[in-house]
Amino acid sequence: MEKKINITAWIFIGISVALIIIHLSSQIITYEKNKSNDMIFNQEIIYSPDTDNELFPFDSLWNNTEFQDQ
Amino acid sequence: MRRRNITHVIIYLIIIGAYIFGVFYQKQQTKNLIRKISGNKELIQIDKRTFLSDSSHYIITNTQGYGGSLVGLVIINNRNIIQKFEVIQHSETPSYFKKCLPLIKSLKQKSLTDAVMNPDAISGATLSSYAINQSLHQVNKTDNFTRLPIEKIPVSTWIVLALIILSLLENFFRNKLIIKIIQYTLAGISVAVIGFWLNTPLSFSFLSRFIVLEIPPFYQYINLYLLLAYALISIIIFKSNNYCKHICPFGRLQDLCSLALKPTQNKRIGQKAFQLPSWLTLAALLPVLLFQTPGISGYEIYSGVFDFTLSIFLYGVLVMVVLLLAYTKRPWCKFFCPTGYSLNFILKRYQNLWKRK
Repeated sequence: MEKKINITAWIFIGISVALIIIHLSSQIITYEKNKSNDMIFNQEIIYSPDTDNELFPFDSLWNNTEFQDQ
Repeated sequence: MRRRNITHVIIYLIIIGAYIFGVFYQKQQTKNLIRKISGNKELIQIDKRTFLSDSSHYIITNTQGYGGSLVGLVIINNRNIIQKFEVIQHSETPSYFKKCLPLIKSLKQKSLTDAVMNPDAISGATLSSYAINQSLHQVNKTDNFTRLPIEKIPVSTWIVLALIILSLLENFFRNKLIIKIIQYTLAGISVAVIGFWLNTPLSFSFLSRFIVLEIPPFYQYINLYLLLAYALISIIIFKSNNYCKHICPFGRLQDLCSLALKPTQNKRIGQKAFQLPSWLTLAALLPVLLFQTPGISGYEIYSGVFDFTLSIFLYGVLVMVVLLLAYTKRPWCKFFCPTGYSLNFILKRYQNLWKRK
């Protein structure tokens, strides 16, 4: 009986560890992705007070499928 | 024993290697980014975040907005006038961040002292505008900490302080009934206040900010500083990890669940899995060192319980932890918690130090 309990508990622990590792990997991928997107923003100096920000540039970028693919 | 020592040496070498690589790699990346923004000017690095070019200072700031870190670049000239403020990276909701653009625009040609002393807050995007104003504080090297009047300390901080005092008192009583009353009171207040109300338990992301020398501003994180101070003081004075035992709201919530579920307490699971938190903490620590970004390390599941914001994978972990509660007490603390492991690691080293003496 105790063996059975052990196996089930270990399966739960194993699944949790796998999920944590997937989560950490996805965090790293998202971070790298955001960084490369930010580099694109910086080239256009989107947040700079120099640029005319009457229209928020995100809106147009967000609807741009090419950007979404990145 | 010898094999264990070799493993330890390898792990320490990996950690040191990752840190050195991360520092140099990120430094180069930051330099390239600033060079791009400044139009390929020659830059002289003054410190970790400050660059000098043509009598203008380029200063990288890192503050906390609503969605997480807000990394900015402030360019000021030698007369302390803001030439440009640019947000390099942020995690704010775009529609809210949009409200802050007039604030960013208004900073140009403003004196830094004036901007710091008379900050503008944007209603509807308070935390984002706060992060922008804090960026200027970082540039001006002023932290609200030194000028914080006592009447401005928030109520939540007084409650956290009361919790700490209550937890300290527990060490001085011998009467079992009094100890039990204190324990239940602590558990209730900790879950309600630090958990559901503030949602600020000590997290590995917070601890790892100290590792990459991104010291969080005191006033903004006053409750976490208090909890960390208590955790360290209890390790030094009582040689015990009192934060995890008495205050951690997630640990306490697990205790309360155990009262209802009455787990089978399979000791073998706990003993065999003792190494698990150390490997998971290492897995969380390496990205922090490589990318020099503390936010990347968080895999704690507290937010799933206290304010229902977690990634889908961590919700899966939360479900597993709830199932494990049927087998053992505090499964999260035993098998997964990186914060608890870090505090226990310090405690163990401290105890060893005393033994040697």
